[in-house]
Amino acid sequence: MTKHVLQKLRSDIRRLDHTALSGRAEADVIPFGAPAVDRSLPWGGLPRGALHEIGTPPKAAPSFFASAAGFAAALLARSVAPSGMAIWCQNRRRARRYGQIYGPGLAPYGLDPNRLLMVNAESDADVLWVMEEGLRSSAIQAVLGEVAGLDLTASRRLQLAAEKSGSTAFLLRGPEGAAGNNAALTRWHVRPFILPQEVDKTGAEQVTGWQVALWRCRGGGPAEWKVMWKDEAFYCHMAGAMADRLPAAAVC
Amino acid sequence: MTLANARAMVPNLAVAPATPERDEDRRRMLADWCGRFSPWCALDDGDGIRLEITGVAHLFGGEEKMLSLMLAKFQKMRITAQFGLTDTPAVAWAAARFAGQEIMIVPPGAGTAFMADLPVRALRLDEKTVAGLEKVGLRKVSDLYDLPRAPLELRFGRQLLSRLDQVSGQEAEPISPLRPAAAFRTRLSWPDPIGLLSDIEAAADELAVALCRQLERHGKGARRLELALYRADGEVIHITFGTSAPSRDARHMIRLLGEKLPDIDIGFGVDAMIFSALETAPQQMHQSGFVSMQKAEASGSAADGQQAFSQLVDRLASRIGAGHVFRLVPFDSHDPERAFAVVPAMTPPVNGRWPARQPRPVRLLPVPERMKMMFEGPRPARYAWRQEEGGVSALEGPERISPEWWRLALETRDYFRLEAASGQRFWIFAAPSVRGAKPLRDQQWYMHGFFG
Repeated sequence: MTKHVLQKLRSDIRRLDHTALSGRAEADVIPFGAPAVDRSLPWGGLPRGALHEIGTPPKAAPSFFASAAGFAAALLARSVAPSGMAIWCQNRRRARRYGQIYGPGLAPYGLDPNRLLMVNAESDADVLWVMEEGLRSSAIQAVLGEVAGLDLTASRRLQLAAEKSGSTAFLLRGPEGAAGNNAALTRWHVRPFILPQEVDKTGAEQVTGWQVALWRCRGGGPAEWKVMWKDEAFYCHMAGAMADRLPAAAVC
Repeated sequence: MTLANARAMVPNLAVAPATPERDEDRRRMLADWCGRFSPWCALDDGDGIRLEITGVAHLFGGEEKMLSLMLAKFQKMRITAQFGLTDTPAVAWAAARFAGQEIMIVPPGAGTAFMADLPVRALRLDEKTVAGLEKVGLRKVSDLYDLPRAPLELRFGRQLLSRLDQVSGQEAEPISPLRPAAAFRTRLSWPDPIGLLSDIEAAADELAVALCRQLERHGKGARRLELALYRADGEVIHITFGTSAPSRDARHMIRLLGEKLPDIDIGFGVDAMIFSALETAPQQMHQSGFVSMQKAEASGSAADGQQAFSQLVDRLASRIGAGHVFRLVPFDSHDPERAFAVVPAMTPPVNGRWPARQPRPVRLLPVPERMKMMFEGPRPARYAWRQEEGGVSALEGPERISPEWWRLALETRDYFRLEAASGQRFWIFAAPSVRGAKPLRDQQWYMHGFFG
């Protein structure tokens, strides 16, 4: 009897906690395509209609920011259908300091220039406003905003707007920001990682390595992978020399 | 009379210097303010304001009522004004100045008779002509009516005849309004000024709906809109905004306006508002209303999606600035700073993939920055840029990028991909002053971009 009640309560909590999204239709999830990563996410991929934060690890050099931006671009490209539009919103001041998005550099991520609306906002407050407007519009499927950081209230607003519209929101945390508490469904740390010489780079114009840490995930534990981005696809990197340095659970 | 003489006669005379420029500004402002009565307002010769009120008098209950209303408004602003109204501007000009009463309405066709007893000055002539006419005893306008035209022209110039013809209406005198008159406009006015933002918003709402109805009847959509708020103290606030695609969706207009309304200074209140479509473009009949009802449904047709997109672009542009909402599209240039073009958000789709040439960074510094490269022998060992410093894991290159030959001011650059020991990938260049003459270690290095 008690066991039954407990079970019911647990399932209720899961449902209320947005984490019982594992029952979601496949269309509601953006799969990484790398089984190891998808398996450790409770939803079998990155859920649409939610807020995801991407940043650099604490105390990382500001130049790591570009890696986070690259990883975010890859996810943004995957979260829009071939006919959908996405928004990338930068803060002008941050763009002057840490570089602005360079069109030709978006090529390896499969972001169609016709499907990406760029916005250069004056302040982080405006960036958040643009994100929210984008989430509310039926013409937009995914928004990405660059801000220093996000407090609980602002992140809840975005999370709710994303849930309501089913569009996906990405928050790219600037290098000067601190990782406070917020309501993002998943939070990622990205750092560049040097691919070993033996990696097969043939045929691809650009092969990128990231060390990606999922450090906060509602309904899932933290995990870390070394991934490779090649021809618009993720691969979990497995090399004998590298594998022993990773925690066993995270080796793919 | 000199100022000294005047002071001797009236000891406590108030004296202020003449400020013709300010008077002129004020007159221009007043003319603008008269836009609430008619879209065709202009500065008159001399010291007046001219309005074309054909087809608008009925809005105010007829010509007489309109003029009394204007008079009352001017008196409230403590401006002494005289009004003349008739079918030709030349007679109206004289009626306002020489009738000796506040409101003078000359019936159509009676202009010549009205002018007959007025002095020749009432013909809007320059001082020299007036003096010349008076010298030969021609003092009243009627003195000129029956004189032969040729000698008059010979002696006093073309202007005199022209004025006479303008009085009789034989020569037209078109008005050139201060502001272009919009084909579609709606107006609201109140006997007492309103000052609450919510009232103004409600009024704007009403105006927008009425304007959209007008546009719909003519199959048009607005591209540029203007809301004019007529303040009780005689100032006019113009709020102009554009849409990226023709629109006659009142809700959309109000949302765009909503960004700007809270910033305006209402002063002592507003007693008239005019909402006009300054520029329009054809728009198919079915869209308005129908689409806005369906907007909630994400799965609309392509046209609905296009409309939702253009409305979003308008919203973003009105707060962020139109120049900051854009798309990046490929542009065929080897110069990295010109390898893309910034185009307005609503530009039709381009043939779109980024050229897959050499790897390019995802972020580019607006201005390349000096950095240091340290070599151990011929091999690059360490780099330093801003506060960052680290070992070099690999240096790939060079990729020589020369500017197009017609852009001589730019130097040739040798770009390298620098992989730091901690994993970052930088796009850096050296600027060889003489082609390949110096070894890498002696060159100046610049940081330009960051790979993803």
